[in-house]
Amino acid sequence: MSYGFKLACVSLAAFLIVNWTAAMMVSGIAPAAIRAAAGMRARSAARLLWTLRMAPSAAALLAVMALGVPSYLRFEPEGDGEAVGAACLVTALLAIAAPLNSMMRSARAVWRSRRAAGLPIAMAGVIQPRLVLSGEIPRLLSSEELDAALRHEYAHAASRDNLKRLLMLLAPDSFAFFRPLASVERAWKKFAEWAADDEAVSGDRRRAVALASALVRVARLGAAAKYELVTPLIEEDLALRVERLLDDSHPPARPAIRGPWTLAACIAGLAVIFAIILQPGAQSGAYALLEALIR
Amino acid sequence: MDLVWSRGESSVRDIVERMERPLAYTTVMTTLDRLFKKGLLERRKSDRAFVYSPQMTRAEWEQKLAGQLVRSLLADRRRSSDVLISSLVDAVSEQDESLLEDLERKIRRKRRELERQRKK
Repeated sequence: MSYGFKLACVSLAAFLIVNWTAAMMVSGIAPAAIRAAAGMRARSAARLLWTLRMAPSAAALLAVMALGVPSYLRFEPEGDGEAVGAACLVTALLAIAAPLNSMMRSARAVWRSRRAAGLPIAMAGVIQPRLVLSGEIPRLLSSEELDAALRHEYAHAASRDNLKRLLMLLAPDSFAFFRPLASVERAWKKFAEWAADDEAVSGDRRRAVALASALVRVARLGAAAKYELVTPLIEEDLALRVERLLDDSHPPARPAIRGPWTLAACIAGLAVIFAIILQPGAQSGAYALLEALIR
Repeated sequence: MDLVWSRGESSVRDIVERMERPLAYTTVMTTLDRLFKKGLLERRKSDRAFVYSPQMTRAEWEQKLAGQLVRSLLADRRRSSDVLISSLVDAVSEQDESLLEDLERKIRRKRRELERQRKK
């Protein structure tokens, strides 16, 4: 069996195992994380939940690329005639199926979102998002309401929410009908909407009322088509969003974690990961695990 | 569940103190334990007592309950699913309409309030 084929099989199988283990761990802490997010500013909450949703796939990719592949290339002798075991082969096939399914879903979503027809007001497109506005909207909304609604959509564009949606589609988390990270994804969508509301309003109470009014007026137009990579003005939780906009006491006072703290946390995280990878025994340990997986 | 949803993490004593109808400590403890075993609550040990928190939000629970109800109604072959679905659509439309009217009332009230504050 060829050296490259074995490497591909073992890398895919390792990716699936690490991704699944990490996804199950994240799903275990998800209820606590979602509760913690409820006490944060909406943008920080959305950021936390998106990081959690992407963490398993990122960890799996990092483990394979930084540890699995280098250790295989370093220790695996060429032409040793070792065959890939059935369990490893099946796991590798499952590992292909999951990202393939994600890629097909993503490609379909990108294709569908190109037209984004039948939507009253939305932000469509991943790399260069564009505003979709039906002809009736400027007639339906007052200038103040239209301004608030447009600010909401541009807030989605500024935070690259459609790109984040695409990356979530690409990061496999499903096994048959079980999606361990579905609750994290739903919570992210809610907080991303709230964050765009907060940024559109920017503390102006009149604008908050105008946005609430725009939401209700657009909701009166009826249910619109749904696209995975399009952010419409209203997706779900209309009542909750309107009541939140009318409530003067939001957002909670806890400050957003950003700027130097985020950078410091990322650098510290990367330092820990590289410290583990560069440990003398790390590669040989990883190779021993890969060997066990191949058989 | 209402108390745990509104209050968040709660011990048996917290719930007993907030019950409108006085109930024995052991009754509440047994009920919370059953809700935990049914997967509606999660719990952790704090000192020597359990602290309970909801496993899902009220909206998630209502969604799950509604899904189960609709599935059970549609699964009953003696009933016509068309009639059920059309009644359901009617009910949802009426609910939507009343919800939107309610939200519009709140928006009008808020506008008036802001207007009054501006004039002061």
